[in-house]
Amino acid sequence: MTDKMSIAFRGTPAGLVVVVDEEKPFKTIMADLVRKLEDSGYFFVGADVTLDLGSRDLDRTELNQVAETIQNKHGLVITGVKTTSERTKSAAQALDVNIVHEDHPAPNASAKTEIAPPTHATPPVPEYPPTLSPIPPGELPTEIVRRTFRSGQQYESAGNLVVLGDVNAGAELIAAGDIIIFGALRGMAFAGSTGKTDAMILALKLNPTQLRIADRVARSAGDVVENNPGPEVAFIENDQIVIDVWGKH
Amino acid sequence: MLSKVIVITSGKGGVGKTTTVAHIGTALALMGRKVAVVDADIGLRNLDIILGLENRIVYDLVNVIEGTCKLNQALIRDKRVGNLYLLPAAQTRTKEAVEPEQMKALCHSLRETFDYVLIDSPAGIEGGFRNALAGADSAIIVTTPHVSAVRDADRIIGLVEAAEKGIPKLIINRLDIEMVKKGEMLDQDDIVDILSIGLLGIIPEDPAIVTASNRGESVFNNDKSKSAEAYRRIARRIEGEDVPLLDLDDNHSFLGRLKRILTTNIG
Ligand SMILES: Nc1ncnc2c1ncn2[C@@H]1O[C@H](COP(=O)(O)OP(=O)(O)OP(=O)(O)O)[C@@H](O)[C@H]1O
Ligand SMILES: [Mg+2]
Repeated sequence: MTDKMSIAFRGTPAGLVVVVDEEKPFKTIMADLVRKLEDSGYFFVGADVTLDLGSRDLDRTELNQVAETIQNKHGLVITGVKTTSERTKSAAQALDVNIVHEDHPAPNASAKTEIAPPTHATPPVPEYPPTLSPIPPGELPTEIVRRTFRSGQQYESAGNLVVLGDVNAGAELIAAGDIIIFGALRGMAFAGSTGKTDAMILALKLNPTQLRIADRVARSAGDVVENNPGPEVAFIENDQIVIDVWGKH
Repeated sequence: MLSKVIVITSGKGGVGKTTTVAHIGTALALMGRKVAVVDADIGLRNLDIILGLENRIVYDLVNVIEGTCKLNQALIRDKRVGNLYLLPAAQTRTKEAVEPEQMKALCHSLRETFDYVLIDSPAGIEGGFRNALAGADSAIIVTTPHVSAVRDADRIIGLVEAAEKGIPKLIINRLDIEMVKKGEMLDQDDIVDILSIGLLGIIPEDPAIVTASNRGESVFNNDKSKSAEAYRRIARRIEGEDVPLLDLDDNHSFLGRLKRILTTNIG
């Protein structure tokens, strides 16, 4: 699909994480960040994010620039910065940004596990009362998204993901749990992204370019025959992704 | 009537945006509407060439935006259709010479004089595209019936929706029925199914378009032209008329239709 981007959005149980490449030039990072945010449209409005900078050195001005782009231009809320660089740490302190320690999400980020649903310029999603979470381990939250995913668009969910619409070629869905599409899947779907091997992918029309479940990958055979056998489901059986007609059993 | 500002764009380059703008603009003007076609492909201007107006350009869009000249000094009246005006792009400048806000203001002024403002956009996701989109109320996406063009169109539709320009309308250009019949080209149903937006029209592959464009003429000079009929129908649909497509649902009647129109025109 696209070149390796220097910016990645990951849905984790602790919320959305923006992972920043450690090596690429700062200019590239900013350009990719702007592009990713613009491409995502309004998916993330109101979402809490943690910035994962790895060992990257950022000075105060640079960190401020990144934060401004994410917060002011695109309406996300940075709840913390994850870094191993001393320089970046002091920049974060100077800007009064919370520093998140390895594997310990920001205290207020753990209360929210859901990525904001897509909105079309509607006001930010309301805060979830902290009492609703955390969801017990093993039980993933389910998110319902009503839209068409087009080429270049990506959506990540920390739980199960239900899409009411088509997922076109060039679009990517990633979910820690199952992915269920009430429409056609022509793009890429990655279920069980955090290693859940019993995750499944179900679509009314399963014509993906690629499927991933946990650490398994399956490609389409190439010849895109839009045969329509009805709803189908993909899951792992004997260490391989298999596709079966839905409702056979 | 309330004037409409429509941007004509695409994901992939070379699919026929400029040709489409010139012909739809001409068709609307022939229907009596006052039309401005704006070349927003700054640095790569060619709408003037297709309209055969290249040698009349004195001022351009960037001059207007920078205040070097007045808007009406830069507008060039078409040599055949009195109601049609061109605002040419600057050839020697880059897209950085214009900001989206300035395009908005420009489109706003054009609304005062014109019923339709059609903006010829550069392809793709660059700054030039954002400028072209900035002042528009709605968008028309042009694609050819090729997998890669449709894929890129899909991407652009997503961006137009994110920019809150509503759901764009689709024009399929250069459809070759023979190729569709052989299964070598996507047919209109496949394309509409994938892109799931409304179809504004289908323009057949027509060598006469290339010849006419090279001479700075339009296909309307030739009454028999089926592409001219396709453009006229698109113009009527833009006007809100409910006109049937040149094709029908299944391939058979699609062919029947085209044949009938051809024989009617010849006869
Ligand atoms: N329906 C058609 N049948 C045959 N040729 C066509 C048709 N439509 C456009 N063309 C030809 O395709 C070529 C590209 O068209 P055009 O310049 O309008 O594309 P464009 O999308 O504006 O390109 P760019 O992205 O470079 O601005 C031209 O040579 C034109 O004459
Ligand atoms: Mg062009």
